Amino acid sequence: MNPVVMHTVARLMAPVLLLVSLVLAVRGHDIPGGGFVGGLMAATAFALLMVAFGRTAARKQLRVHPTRLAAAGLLVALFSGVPSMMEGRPFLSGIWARLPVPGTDGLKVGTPQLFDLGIYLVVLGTAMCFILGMARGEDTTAPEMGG
Amino acid sequence: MALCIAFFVPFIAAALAVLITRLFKSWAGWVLALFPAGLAVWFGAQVPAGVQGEVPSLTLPWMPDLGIELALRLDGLSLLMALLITGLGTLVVIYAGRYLVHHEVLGRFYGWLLLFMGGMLGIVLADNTLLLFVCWEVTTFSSFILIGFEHKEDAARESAQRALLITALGGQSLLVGLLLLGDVVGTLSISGTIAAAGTVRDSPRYLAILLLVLGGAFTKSAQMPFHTWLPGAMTAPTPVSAYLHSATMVKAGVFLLARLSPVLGGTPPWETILTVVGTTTMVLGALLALGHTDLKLVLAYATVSVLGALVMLLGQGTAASIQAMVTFLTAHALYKGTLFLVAGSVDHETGTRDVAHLSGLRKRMPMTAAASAAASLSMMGLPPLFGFMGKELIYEACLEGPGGWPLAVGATVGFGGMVAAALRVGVQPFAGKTFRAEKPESKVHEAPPSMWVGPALLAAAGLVLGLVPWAIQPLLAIAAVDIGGSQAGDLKLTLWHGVTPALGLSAGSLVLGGGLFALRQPVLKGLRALNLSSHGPERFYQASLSGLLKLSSSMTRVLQNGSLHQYIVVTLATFGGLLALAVFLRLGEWPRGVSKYVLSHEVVVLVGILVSAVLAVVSRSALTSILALGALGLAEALLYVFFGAPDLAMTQIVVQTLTVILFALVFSRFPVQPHEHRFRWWTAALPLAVGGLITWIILHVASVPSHTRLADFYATQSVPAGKGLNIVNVILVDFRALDTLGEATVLATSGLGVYLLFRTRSQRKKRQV
Repeated sequence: MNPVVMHTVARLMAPVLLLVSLVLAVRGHDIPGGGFVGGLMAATAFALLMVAFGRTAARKQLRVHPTRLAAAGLLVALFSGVPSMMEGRPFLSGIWARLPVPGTDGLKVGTPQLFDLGIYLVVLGTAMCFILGMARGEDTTAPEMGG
Repeated sequence: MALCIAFFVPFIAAALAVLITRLFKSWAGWVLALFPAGLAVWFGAQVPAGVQGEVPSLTLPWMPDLGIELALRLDGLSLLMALLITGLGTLVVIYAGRYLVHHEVLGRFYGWLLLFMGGMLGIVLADNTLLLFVCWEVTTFSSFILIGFEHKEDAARESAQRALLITALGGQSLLVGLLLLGDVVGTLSISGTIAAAGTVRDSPRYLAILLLVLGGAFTKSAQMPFHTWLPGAMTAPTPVSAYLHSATMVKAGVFLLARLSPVLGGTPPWETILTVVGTTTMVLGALLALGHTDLKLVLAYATVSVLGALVMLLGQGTAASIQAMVTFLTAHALYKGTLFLVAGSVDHETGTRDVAHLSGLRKRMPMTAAASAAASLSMMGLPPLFGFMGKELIYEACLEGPGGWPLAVGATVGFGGMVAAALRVGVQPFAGKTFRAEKPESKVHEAPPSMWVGPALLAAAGLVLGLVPWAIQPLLAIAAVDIGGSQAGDLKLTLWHGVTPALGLSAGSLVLGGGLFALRQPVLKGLRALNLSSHGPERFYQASLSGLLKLSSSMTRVLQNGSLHQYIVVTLATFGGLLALAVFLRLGEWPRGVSKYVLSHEVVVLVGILVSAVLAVVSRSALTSILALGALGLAEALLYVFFGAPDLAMTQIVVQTLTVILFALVFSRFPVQPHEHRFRWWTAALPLAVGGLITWIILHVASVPSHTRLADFYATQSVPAGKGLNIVNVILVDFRALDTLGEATVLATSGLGVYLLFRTRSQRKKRQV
């Protein structure tokens, strides 16, 4: 494939995919989506960057080390269960509130969304561990397709 | 409530250890010692109330459905042990601050040591068998880390592994025993179990429970034949040896036996097993102690001997023997703690622990020498030290108890060995004239204050308690009552008993010990020739370890031979075989009631799936196969759309995209060899059979009406309880959030595993280049 086409597509598509992944994650509680598929979508964006520009570039764009992403995700998910305990309810019970946002009847926010964000990070981090791990050393050897 | 705080203090201190060490640097030992010191003061303040018969207790729900509670109870036995743990702990923490001052990860060391302290304190305070077990395993695990703390050395790793294998195996046995026990009495509460002791002794499961619990206690307390890990554990830094292997961890097993003595004790099997094992361990430990010249090894085998004596006393179970046991346990903690710390100081100052190279240190290290002398006199059981009282009580208990004279003779031999060992480690390095070690004599100085203050205090305590035994007598009495019932409370500690047979045996053991010490060269030679430590259990441990490795490597050869083909065959055959078994046992007949209408666009997708599946298998080009797989996945996603599962469809599409990328990466690294394309009939038959089986199951599932109460619950509760319209997501992040959290943890762990796998691979490659 012509690398120029590939580069252009990747450069344009990756941010879009990332944005879509966030939308998916945020709206997941009410319409199809959620942290899991959102995280996977974000991983696809970075995978696309990797195919186009190579492993090092994708790793650079990710900025944070994938294992740290996964660990941070776990911590966020774990933490989202704590506020309900302070109210004396079981760990991970959902707490919801409505933020007054002008022009709407309020923006729904709650700890389950925080939990979903944690899952998003775990999935993204884990998927990047897989993908970047598989691609290690890939930049130096030209891919040989076919048998 | 204060009890609950006391329970958590060591854990909090452990969590803060790294931070505090970083902040206070070389003063960290003194600062961290404030935690156990505060606890010791608090426990000390509880003694008057405890002597009056007050037993503070506290129960917090933990896992109420399983009867697991954070139940704490501070009776006499707990109080005695808690004081030993926190008191010795304070001194050891101060000592370690100097001993390991230049260690690069001192903070982490403190973290593990304090965690260990927390586990140990939890064991003695627990009033719930499973809480006790959890704390028990905390000590197993943290001591594994502490023993292997110098993990760059092979010996440390090997000993740590051995300690873990033996004590953790015992832990499993203990867990089963405690669960059986809980089943018999119907409660996990320890005080409740003690109240229902009669039910246990009459139960047909009594013997099984006893053996399983003994498995835990004997491995932890290094009884024959499980004693082989304790001397190995001397590879740990000396403060650890002093703490874990003199005063606390090894006593966990003895404590457990004491704790459960009212429940399991007093029966013929209990008396026989404990007496035989305890006495054997005592005599053997004393003999093995004589066969070594390393200060710490001698002390370790002497500890094995003492543990045997304590177990033997519990086995006797008379009031006198219980009293002797609590007294001797206290005396041993004091003198053995001192001697270990002294050994550490000697090693620290002279650079050697080999007693054959040490002598005349008393002038150079007067404080250490004084502490050592007092402690070794206590170990030898000489008046007016506290050890003397413990030893006299043991002789009296042996003579009065069911064991009689034979047991008393055994004890004399054991103590004879201990006297020789005490002369060896406590006196010999300090007596005599010339000092011969690796360092020149002029460079050897007294250890710094933080390293002699601990041994000095412990040794002084042994002396003071010997002179004023009434100071500790009430505490020992209530501890004895908790083990042996009210008749054990009548404890009298006096220095002079008159001319009794016990005094004669004492003299006998001193003569024997002195003789053994005088003849130490031939004794050492003889014992080395016998090579006691490498026969029997040692041999068995090595053989079973290598057997285990052989078994696992032969299994690896068969199951993981590096051929992907083989992996898939094994996985499919196992999965299919188990499924087939379940299916033909439960779903024998042809499924009925499946919808007969198939829509035309569904047929199109179905054909697409079939064609791409066949293409993926038969194609000779890896690229074509990968693309066919991708097409298959996308067609599947379409099916999900048809059946109203947009969440699944979306996830499937993204997963498929990532899978194609991953496959492309993998295949580009491992080009497919042409000869792997040979057609074998069973290569085709196996997947077809498994696929057919799954189709069969799905047809069955589809023929069963799916209106369950669970589905209704989720459908009706999603909005009011979960505040969300997307049921799938509400289930994942709200109703079953804990499951999701667990799965996320598994996912993250596997990601870490994959990452490390590739990292080590590429690093190895780099090294080779």
